[in-house]
Amino acid sequence: MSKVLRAILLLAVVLGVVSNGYAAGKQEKAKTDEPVYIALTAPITGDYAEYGNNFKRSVEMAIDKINASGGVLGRKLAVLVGDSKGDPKESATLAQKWTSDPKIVAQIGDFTSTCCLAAQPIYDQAGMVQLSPTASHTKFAQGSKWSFSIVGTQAGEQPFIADYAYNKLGFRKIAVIHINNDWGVDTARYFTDNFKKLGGTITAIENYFDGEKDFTAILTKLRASNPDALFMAAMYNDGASISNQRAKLGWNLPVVGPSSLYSEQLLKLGGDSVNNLYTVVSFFADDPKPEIRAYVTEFEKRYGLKPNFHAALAYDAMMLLADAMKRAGSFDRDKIREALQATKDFPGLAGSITFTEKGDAIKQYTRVMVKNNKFELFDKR
Amino acid sequence: MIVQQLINGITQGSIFALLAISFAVIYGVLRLVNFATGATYMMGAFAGWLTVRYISQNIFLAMLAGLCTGWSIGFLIEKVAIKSLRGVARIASLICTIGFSIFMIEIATVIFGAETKAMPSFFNEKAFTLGGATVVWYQLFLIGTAVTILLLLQILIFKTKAGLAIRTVSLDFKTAGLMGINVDRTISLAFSLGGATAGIAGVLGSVYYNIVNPTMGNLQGLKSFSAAVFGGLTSIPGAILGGYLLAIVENFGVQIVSGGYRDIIGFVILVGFLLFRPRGLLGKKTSL
Amino acid sequence: MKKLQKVAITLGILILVSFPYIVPNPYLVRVAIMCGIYMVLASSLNIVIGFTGMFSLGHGAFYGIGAYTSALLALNLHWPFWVTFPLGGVMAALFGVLIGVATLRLRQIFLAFTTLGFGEITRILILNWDSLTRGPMGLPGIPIPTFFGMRFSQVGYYYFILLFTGLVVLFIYRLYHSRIGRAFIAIREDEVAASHMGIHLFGYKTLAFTLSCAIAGLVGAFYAHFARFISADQFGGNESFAILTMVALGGTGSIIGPLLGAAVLIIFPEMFRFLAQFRMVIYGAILIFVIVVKPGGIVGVRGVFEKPVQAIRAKRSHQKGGH
Repeated sequence: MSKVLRAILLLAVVLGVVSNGYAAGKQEKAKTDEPVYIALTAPITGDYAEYGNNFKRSVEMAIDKINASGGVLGRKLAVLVGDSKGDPKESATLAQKWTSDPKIVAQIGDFTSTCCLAAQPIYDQAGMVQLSPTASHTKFAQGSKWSFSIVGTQAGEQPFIADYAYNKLGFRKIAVIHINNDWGVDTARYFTDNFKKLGGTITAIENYFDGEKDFTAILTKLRASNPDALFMAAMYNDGASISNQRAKLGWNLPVVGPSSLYSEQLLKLGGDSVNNLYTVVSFFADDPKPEIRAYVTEFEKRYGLKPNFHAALAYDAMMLLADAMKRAGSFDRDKIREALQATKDFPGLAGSITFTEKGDAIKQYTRVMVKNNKFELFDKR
Repeated sequence: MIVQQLINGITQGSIFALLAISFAVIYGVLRLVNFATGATYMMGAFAGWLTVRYISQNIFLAMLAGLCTGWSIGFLIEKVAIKSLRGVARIASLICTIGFSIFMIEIATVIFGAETKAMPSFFNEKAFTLGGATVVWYQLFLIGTAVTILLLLQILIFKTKAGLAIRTVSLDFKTAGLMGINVDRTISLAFSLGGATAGIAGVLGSVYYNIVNPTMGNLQGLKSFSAAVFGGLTSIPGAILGGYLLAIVENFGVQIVSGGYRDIIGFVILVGFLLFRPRGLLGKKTSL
Repeated sequence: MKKLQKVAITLGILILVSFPYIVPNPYLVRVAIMCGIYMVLASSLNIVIGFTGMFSLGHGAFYGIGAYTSALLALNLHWPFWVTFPLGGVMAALFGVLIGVATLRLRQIFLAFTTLGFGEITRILILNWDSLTRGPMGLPGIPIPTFFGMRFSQVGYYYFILLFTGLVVLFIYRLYHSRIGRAFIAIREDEVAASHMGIHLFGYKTLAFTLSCAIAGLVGAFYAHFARFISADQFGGNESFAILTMVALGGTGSIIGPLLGAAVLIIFPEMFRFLAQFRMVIYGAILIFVIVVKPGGIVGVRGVFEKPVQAIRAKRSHQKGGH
């Protein structure tokens, strides 16, 4: 019996320590000169660390900018960063941590749709804004009135890309390669549906799992279907690998893909092989608009690299949240949600943001292409 | 197309084979699966990347860096974790290798950042076309290097005294000790050798795929483990055969079935072999 | 002394029962629930590894099978939680029997490799079987269980998992001290001797493995209804290794060990969130450190893992002396 005894005692001690910490935390009184806290949930370590760190950089930059111009409603903002490791369980635990902390007024994140969906019931129950910069799962924003996504769903983006491929570029036969996760499946599905609707033919569809590095087998198979162009539903890292290996196979053809391909990393990793790639963007780092110039210059100065689409979205998310708080005139969680829902034509770096009733953003897209190892606007030609 | 898939498979198989050897050398002497192999592969790749980026654009130098890094990591793991745990239940050493794997991946993320790095291509010109399939020089180089390393290892194991010690220890560790073989040193050597092959594989793989990042070894490690079991965990020629066969079967599996089922092929082979022929293709029955 | 024990036990149980009221913080209650889930998972894996001395590297798959079974029955057939929960366990047990029958005749290490492969196959099948599992999209909107018409609140979940963990620990405690448990331990210590004593090796091994899978399946079913969203990546190889790590770190073969290991590996990473990107580096380092210093785990059973070391050391010094 002494073992059971020891077990129970141990547990009690652990719980005691934890609750002690909680009590100590509770004693801090909220001061008026204390900042207003925003939570950021992002994969700082693990497979998606690259994207999570971009979130962190952008949100911190946005907060510094907001605070430099006097904060929101006379108070400074501060961010608490939580590392979800890209693990849905961690994301949900963090959601519980944020929602049970009365200092925190709203949350930005997470990166993947699965993480966002896992955390959703918690935000929904507690009543806190869950503003994801990147979740594009069609079930996400409509799942709760507290959930918002500013990336725009594939249902909005793919008709535009299909039109680009069919009408502007004149492709009739396209082969599709996509990553087998929620995002990739959605992207490929909306693209093929829309492309077929226009009268095009999909010659073959193949998918791969996250973490795959060798695409030669899939590419060889797709090549045999003899398409005019390749549609690549992949993030920029995989996109660069696929292009590299395609070039090694001696298969040269134009490539079309979603906005997630837009990143300097694609050019750096893909080299010559990514030329003749067509995609759309709602954020373009070489845009001459002064606010984008200011953001890009500052980002490069701080972190020594060019911001990509995901970074810009995270920046927009923070700025949008600050704007919603201003419009709400309050830091009340419920009021922030109402103001956010009412967002109309918010001028973001990645296009203006207007939410649908369900909480998805309607975006505008610009056609771009890679030429001479650089992203260029397509329509300027 | 069939020729192309075969060439794809053989190139990929060279990397699998090197990693499978890494598993086999260590499993052979210690009956221990080193789950840090994938992470060692990654560290080797980073060493190669650093060399190419800061020292010289020379693939041989990069491979040397990968070899040294892998060797040191293998040596270190053995010294820190395995030596003190020898004779303890295998689970302790196994958990230790998992700990090392996590540690290396995360420390690489902290040091180098999570962003994927570009590894330059070498010998990327077209060598020849065969039945509609393009072969670049690097593929030939990769296959050639892998085969050379495999031959060198064979010579080391079958023609040298150290190799004799490795073979003896893998037959029976206690008796080998009684016969005057320095078991400690032999196990340490096996670990270092395993690390070194994984390190070189990292450089070769990263040049082939042109990328380096902290998580690049995870799937690679797991798949080559299947390859090693496929060929027979205790046999080095078996591991080589397993590596090549697994990659070729995988590539044809994509061609015939679908890319979605690609990873399953390796594991179905793994489970199938365990159930029906647990010693693998070339494994010896007695040594298991 | 007996009296003191009783007082302490009562006090401990009181604290655990009143925890959600002493600390009405949903975050900490959630961490406690996660602790409970992993305590059960680690304890169940311990039946295989710690008691019987076999290896399983695919425990996450059985956990996932339970979760998916329960979630799919609830979503598609609208069966209540109280029916789907046991069925999750039954389904996991079925797969456990299958794997067990196929591999347990072989040498122990093969169970490890087979379960590793089985885990990956399960994950990939879930991802590819779109029509049933919705593949990579995952299963959102799993219903909240009801108790006499009342939907579970977070505190409800807490009491459920507290009770369940208690029952599992009690079950394992009784098992350990029963005839069956002694047979398991006999197999762990020496298979040949055990079989000469008349212990049916294959039967007992299969029993241990199946029991372990069934418990994992049950807690998987609970997790599905607690998280209300499941996807294949939550039950992959990483999960299996995490559970294995909890058992090894806490103490293989002891009853408290896995409980402690689970609590430490759930609570510590939460406490060290401020370390940001260094958190996982330290996690790896601590893992290595603890295992090197205490190979049997924090509260490992002495007889199991430490004796052989001494024996080997003695042998080694003997060898050195001999040359």
